[in-house]
Amino acid sequence: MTREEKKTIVAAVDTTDVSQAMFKEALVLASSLRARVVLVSVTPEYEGNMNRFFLKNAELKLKEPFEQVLDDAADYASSLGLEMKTVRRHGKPSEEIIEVALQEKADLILLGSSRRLQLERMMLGRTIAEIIHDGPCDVLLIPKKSEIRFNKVLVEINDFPSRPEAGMLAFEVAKSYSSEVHAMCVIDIAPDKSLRYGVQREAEQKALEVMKEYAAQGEEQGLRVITEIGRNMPERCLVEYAQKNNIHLIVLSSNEDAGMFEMLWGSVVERVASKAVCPILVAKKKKAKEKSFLSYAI
Amino acid sequence: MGEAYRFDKIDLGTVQSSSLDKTGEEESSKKESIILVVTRNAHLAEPVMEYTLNLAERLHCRLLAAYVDTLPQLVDGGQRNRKFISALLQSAEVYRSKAMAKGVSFSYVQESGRISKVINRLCHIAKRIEFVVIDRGIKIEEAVSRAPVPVFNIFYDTFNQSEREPWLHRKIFLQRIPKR
Repeated sequence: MTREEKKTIVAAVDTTDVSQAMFKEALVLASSLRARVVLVSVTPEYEGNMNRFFLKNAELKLKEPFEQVLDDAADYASSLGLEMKTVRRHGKPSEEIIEVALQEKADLILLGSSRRLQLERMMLGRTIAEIIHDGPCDVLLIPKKSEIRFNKVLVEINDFPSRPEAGMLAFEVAKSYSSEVHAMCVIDIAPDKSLRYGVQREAEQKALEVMKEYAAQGEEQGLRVITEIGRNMPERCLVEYAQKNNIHLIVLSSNEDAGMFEMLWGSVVERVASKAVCPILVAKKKKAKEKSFLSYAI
Repeated sequence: MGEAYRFDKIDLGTVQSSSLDKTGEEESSKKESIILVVTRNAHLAEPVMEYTLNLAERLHCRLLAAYVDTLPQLVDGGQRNRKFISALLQSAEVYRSKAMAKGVSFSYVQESGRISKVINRLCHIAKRIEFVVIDRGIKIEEAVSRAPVPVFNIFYDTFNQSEREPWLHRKIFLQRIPKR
């Protein structure tokens, strides 16, 4: 592998504690993957008028903490003898982060995720959802106080044969880090449909078939898959299972075609991220020859 | 499957190191082993400082000091944090000057959180940490719990230390005075 073929991790930081902890985890991951880290900090656009509060250089004052974060991060990395590229941007965070990821040909985007209620997400913007939806690569969300470990991986396989990204990525993680794979198929039937005769049984049968197929594919690759059926809302099932079984990573696939429900109530990824205590890896649909950030093969 | 992965990893390392255009000096400094010195006090104890400096000089290692703030969430308006930072800067400056006199390369990082987590993280980021030396006030069980390398603590006579660091007694005395 030459220097040009080195994997690139784009980590987006802001002034919060969550993103600063995430940056350190980015260094751990980069060290284990021998990847290079590009740290990006985006100062949000300010459209107000602070002159009425006798604050003339509002933009400069807004920019300062974001630049300080980058400087501190660069100092930290250099004191550990690591090289790191820092990028300062100004504008809409999601758009700028995606642009940097495209420019740097990123293999993975790292974001810190804080616990937020749906109302907070609606009010404060949906940066994570926008990056997942429009980003060019997989996204790893790191909640506060969590750390990157791949010993136990939980993957949601609801749409497995038709959309295999998450399932395949979980296999890749498991092969690279000798992880234990837990696969969950969630049955979430709307209350009006659940009253119909046989709907529950039909859904369970379908879930069993999906799990059987996934387990068989795992066996083909020499991996043992522990399967489970969840009977509640996806975020609740996944988070509860992860807490109960001490899961280190949840793998989900991104929802490319978000509907009105997702716009209002947030996608499954957003809802899981707002509750989970372990990192969440969101798999994007890949082109035929595209490899994941984990692939070492030359 | 596991063996194939291991082969890839080793192969990758050798190719990568040879492909980088670096001078011999840079290369050797990158490959220098590191002794990690961890303290939860902003002032690193002098015996620990002396011992690690001698050790680094003898073993031709680099020193990395981690000043860990174990109470980052303390609600005091950031007063403790500010004091911690100013004290660690003083301590690091003393450590650096002593290291320079002995020709040992030294760097430090400010960390926060649990000791075990910090040691684990630093050992994974800086790959060449050979062992960890902990300062007083850190339980060895906690440091060892997640450390991938050996951990040592240093026992020293606190009476002799108080002679060398008179501020230590004064500080404790002042802390014991109840506020009015």
